Amino acid sequence: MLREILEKRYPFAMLRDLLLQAFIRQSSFQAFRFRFTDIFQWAGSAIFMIVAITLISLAYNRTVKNQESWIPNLASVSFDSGDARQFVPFERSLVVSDSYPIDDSSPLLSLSENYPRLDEKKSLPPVDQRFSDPNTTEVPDFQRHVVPLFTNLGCNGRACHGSFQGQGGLQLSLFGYDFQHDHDMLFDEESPRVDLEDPESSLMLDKPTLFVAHGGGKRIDEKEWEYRLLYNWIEGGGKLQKANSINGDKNPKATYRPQPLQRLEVYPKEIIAKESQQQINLKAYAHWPDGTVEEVTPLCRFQTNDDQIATITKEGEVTLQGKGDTHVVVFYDQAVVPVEVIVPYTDQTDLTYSAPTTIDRLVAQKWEKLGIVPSPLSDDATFLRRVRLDMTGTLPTSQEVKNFLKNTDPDKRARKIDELLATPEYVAWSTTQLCNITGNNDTQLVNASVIRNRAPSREWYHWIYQRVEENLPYDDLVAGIVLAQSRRPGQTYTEYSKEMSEYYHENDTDGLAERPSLSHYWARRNVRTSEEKAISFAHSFLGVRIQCAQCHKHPFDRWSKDDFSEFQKFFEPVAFNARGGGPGTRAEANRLLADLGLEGKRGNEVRRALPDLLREGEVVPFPEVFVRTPRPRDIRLGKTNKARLLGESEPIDLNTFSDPREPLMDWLRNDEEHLLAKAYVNRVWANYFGIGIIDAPDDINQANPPSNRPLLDYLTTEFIRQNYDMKWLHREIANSRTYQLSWETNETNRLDNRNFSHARLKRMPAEVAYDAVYQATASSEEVLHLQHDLSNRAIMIPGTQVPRQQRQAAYQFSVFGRSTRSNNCDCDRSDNPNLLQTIYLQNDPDFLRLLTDRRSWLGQLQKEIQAEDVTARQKELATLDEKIKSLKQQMERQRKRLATLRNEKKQRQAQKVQKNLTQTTKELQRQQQSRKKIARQKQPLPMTIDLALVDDILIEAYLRTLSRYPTSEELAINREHLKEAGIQGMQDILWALLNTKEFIVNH
Amino acid sequence: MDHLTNNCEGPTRRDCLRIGALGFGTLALADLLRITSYAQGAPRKRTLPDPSLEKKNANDANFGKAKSAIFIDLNGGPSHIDTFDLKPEAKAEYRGEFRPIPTNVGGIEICEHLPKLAACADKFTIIRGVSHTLAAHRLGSQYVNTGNKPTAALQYPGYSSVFAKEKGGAPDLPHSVAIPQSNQSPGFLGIRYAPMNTNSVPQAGRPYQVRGLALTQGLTVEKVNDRNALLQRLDTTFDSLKEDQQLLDGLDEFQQKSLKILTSAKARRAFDVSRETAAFAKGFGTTPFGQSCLLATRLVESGVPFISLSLGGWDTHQNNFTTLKNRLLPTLDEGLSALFTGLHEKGLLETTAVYVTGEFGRTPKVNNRAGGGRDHYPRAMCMLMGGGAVSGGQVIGASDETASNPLERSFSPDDLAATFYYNLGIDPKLEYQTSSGRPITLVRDGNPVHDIFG
Repeated sequence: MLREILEKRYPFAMLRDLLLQAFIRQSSFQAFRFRFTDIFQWAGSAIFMIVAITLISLAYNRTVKNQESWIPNLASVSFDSGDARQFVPFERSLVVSDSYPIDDSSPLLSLSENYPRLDEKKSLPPVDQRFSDPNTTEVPDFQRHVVPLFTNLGCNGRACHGSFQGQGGLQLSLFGYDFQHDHDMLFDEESPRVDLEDPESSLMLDKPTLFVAHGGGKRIDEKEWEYRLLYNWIEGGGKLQKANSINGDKNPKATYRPQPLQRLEVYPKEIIAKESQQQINLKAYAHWPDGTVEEVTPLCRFQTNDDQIATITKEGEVTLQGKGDTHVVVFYDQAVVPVEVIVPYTDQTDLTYSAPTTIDRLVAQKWEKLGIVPSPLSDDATFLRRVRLDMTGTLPTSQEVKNFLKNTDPDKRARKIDELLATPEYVAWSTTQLCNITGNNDTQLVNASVIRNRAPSREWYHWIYQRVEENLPYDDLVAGIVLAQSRRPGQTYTEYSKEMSEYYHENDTDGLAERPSLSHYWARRNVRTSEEKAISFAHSFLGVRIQCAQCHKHPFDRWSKDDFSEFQKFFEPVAFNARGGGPGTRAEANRLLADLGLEGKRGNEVRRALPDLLREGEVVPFPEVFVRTPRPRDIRLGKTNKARLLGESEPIDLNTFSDPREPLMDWLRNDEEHLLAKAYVNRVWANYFGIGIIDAPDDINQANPPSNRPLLDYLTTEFIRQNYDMKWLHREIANSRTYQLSWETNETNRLDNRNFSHARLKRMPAEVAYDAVYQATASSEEVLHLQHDLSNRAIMIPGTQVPRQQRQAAYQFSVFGRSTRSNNCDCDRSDNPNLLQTIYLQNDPDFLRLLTDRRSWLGQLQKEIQAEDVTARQKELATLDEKIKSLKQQMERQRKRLATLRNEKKQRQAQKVQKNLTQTTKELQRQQQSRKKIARQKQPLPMTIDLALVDDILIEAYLRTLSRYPTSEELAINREHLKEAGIQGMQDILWALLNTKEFIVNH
Repeated sequence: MDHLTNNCEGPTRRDCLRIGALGFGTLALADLLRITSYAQGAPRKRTLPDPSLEKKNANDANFGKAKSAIFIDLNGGPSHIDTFDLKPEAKAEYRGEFRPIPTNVGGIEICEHLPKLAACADKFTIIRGVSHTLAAHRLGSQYVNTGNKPTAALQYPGYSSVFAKEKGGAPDLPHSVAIPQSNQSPGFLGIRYAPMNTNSVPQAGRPYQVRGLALTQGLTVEKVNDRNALLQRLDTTFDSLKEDQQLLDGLDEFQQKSLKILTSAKARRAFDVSRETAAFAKGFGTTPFGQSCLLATRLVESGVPFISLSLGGWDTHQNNFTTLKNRLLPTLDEGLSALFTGLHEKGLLETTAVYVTGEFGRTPKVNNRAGGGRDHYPRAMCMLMGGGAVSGGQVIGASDETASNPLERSFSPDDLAATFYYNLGIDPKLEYQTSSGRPITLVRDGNPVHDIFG
């Protein structure tokens, strides 16, 4: 209709919507029921029209790249879809979304300046109005009103009655999710809180009014609506559910199901402030399946995610406190709705900013809202170091820096990114990070293989490594873990044990990596129960902390206890047998043991004997991960085994699947929230930017919304469209201008830490720091070697135990916080600095040894300089020898001459020659002595090497550590140091460079 | 690990934000009076903030009597009814297996498996009837390590960091050492006030050095100084950013500190427990905890202002009695008694505040799991304090006949935190500002329990 017409006429979506809204306002005005509110509405419309006209004229004057980018400046409040989960493209944030009923057939709402006005015939005013009337006879609903009021009053919070230790023996469900339970508690036979005979003496009323002592203090007043609401509910029979909705069932308890809340709409959808200390009231509307719409603001629970930016009262009043952006969150029934709050830093925007990629455009849109001018692009050297460390966990070599800086190709950054994605370092570093989130931990894997000593963690690492190297689509990689079983399809247990034994006989880790699936994931000791499996699965692949729902409804998400218990069922049939195979394989295992002469031996004896037998080339029975298939009898009898996926309403009958993880994997690929892709994309982003779009990256929940939803949605959907191409994702992020910004801040983005307006400084992760120190100090030969052989790199250490040949890394890991892979938490890794890290870089024996040992760069340098020194000395000696030789010859000549002259009795001449001869002899002695002295010297003296050589060495030191050329000032300082300390001073310089913040921080 | 959560209990700290806003925190005075007037049992004692406190502080000899501190964290939540608050008259399912024994202070009895502590009960004070509501490990632990109920919005600093900030310490020693690690984070004070973890524990009779503190490979103090002078001249790239970057701030702070420590012979000697006389060291036994206690006394003597120790394993949901009897109580008994007597012998107890606590007590009623266990129970725990102004040989507060509730008066972890700070000469009502200028009271809801000072 109107919308379509406008759409055709006005290609700019924004203008279309402005006009549309204005039109709606005008049409509602036509109805002309002249009431007070209408005056405001009319005034609002007029202002809106003026604003719209102003903006239209502005639009033609401003130099902007796209129409979305200046929308945020338009208004302080905007509307969009009510469902927080729904993908809302940014350009619609100011518009009434399609899901919002505005056509004639749905006259529920009309619009005012900030809030929708409810059609009173179809909607209910809030309870605080309805129950303010002392004569109201309305009986409130337990689920819709009574329990939410408990929440709003704080009754069912954790410190009061919301915990399992509920105060005074009253245990309500935390924040009110279990209505049946709460109702039962109130009617508990031993200590009822409700007195239906005499409602006024119900403890439920007497306690919070302090008529009877109440540890929680006074919560309500007898004269207020809260009291009346609770009173009327009791007087109305204290029903769990209104009679007409029980479908005539005689036992209401048996069939009780909470009414499913359709949605909660909260207005405004977004708050963009122009001044601080501004106050905004949130309004929330609940939509129920019976068509009721009720304003429930007084019954919601509110929370702010950063009270330094905005605070919120229990009435839903938001007060802006400081600059920045955050969310306030509204909870009601099952719904969790975040509302973004933006308090701009400045009123500045960079109109000349060019956003070359979609990422940049989406990020810049947020900057505009926040009044942030981004930092400039980083220089080439900074970019190279940053991308090298983030993408490959490796410091660039000095040669690489030189080449990159010399290169004049305008596309050299993009080319470098492609080049890096093809390196084994990229594969190794990505693999390490995937091992972190999947939990590759030696301690948990002690039973996963016959050979304990780090074999399973190595197999795990290489299995992932191979797939990252092939760039297998991420969902396929995950499927190889999720659907993992030890035996290949159709393989017998004996065949499986034989296959595995052979890999070990040949020491063929690559062969093991070829196996179709990574069963070790399910063989860990910390995922023995199905609950533990579900929690680990949710952490690894969904980035969700489902563990809360194990005991109670997730307080910040919609997951309930039922959701969890029905979800963990998918994992029940997944089993691991450390001492043999799955069902029906005992005979085979026994036969294998019999062949080994181990039949009937005790479990421990067998376990001790097997590794040696395997090493000797025997076929030994291997531990097995398997799936218990549904019992044929159950299937024959038509029994079902229902499980339910997270967020889905319909259960799945597991008896119809041979492996219940198949529907699980299908869901991972197809669920509408794309959690699999979202969690991965967000984690990769966090690796590059030091903070997730959702942060913490493994805490995706409705109350913790992304700092930039359009950005996360774009990356997620596009990642899926690119067929889960991991390299695409890395490339897309690294090629964005946003990633390549400088760390140097300006006044507008100084305080911004969540919107990627400048590079964040990140301490190098433990493994990366270890490798970086090693490479920066290694001899040129060793540096070359490191590029071809990664086997000694810390980013190649598979599990949590460090191999003996790299044992020095173990201490460094503990101090620098390498992931412990133990708690289903990304926080198992820590990148914070501490005193011991500094002490490590200043004075650790391992570290100091790296500076100077024989394979170090300085060791190499010293040798070279000494070698030169030797030649110089030999030259000197040779010169002396020449001199001595010629002096001797001279003496010989002089002696002959003297003899001749004496024979000829030419005394005067003879005397003269004699004198010369004495002089020559003295000279010879002097030369001989100095030769002796030089020949005796073993240590070269502190040397003055020529300036050009010094500068070369200094430049190399800077390139090796800070990946850039030194400034002239830095050169001067270092030359000065060398002048005093001699070439030995290079040790001090390299030490100092490795101790600069610039070295340990990826910037 | 500083801000993230990883178990079922985790995110509920945000619940506390709600509670902070809606719960006891906002209780008005009028309500308070109304409660007490209606109360049938004993009123919960709540001292209201005293505006003249600061003045009083300066005049009170107890204020700041302690110059250093040892905090001992009994991770897991030790059973109060089996240690320092026995109920021999209670029914069997409450009183458990252990019997009380007399101590060297008339009228005070503690568990029979703590004989050495019983012999030095005059050196510490037992506080019974300490009560709070956070029955989850992490939350409870954060609570007793900060004196503030945890909230999502803000990470409160642990005692060690506050002490480091307020009192500093010797420039050539770490301002705070945790053996081997600590549950106290510097919170909003910033990582520069983080404790130095030793990450290892000394072994009896062996020379001990925290790795990296010894100068090796021909390095001399002069050399280290020279190198650092050069470093200061070269490390200037981020100078323009410093103000806004906690990371850089922390790196700088640690840099300066480590230089001072590295060039100090005192620091190296302080950590070497093998320099202690055999006679003195003997009492501490050979357990890691005992050796940590020995190291703690040595560090106090050398001038390290704050030392955190821990002894974990108290989460006895099952086999409560065998675990306590065979392992935990003997270990605690030996190490802690040696710590008190050792500090006393060296004349340090008068200036060293010692605070020993777990995150909560355990359910007075024994559960029916294997070996009999007790579960989390924060409503009536007990704590120990000694040293500084604390007058030893006392019991403050009490619990009811089954150790289920405080009797007559109860204390909150906030109160004990305030007491600890008071002993250390830090006004518990001190106001801090977060980086954004938000004012925070050091211990908002607690007041010093002056009876502890006798």
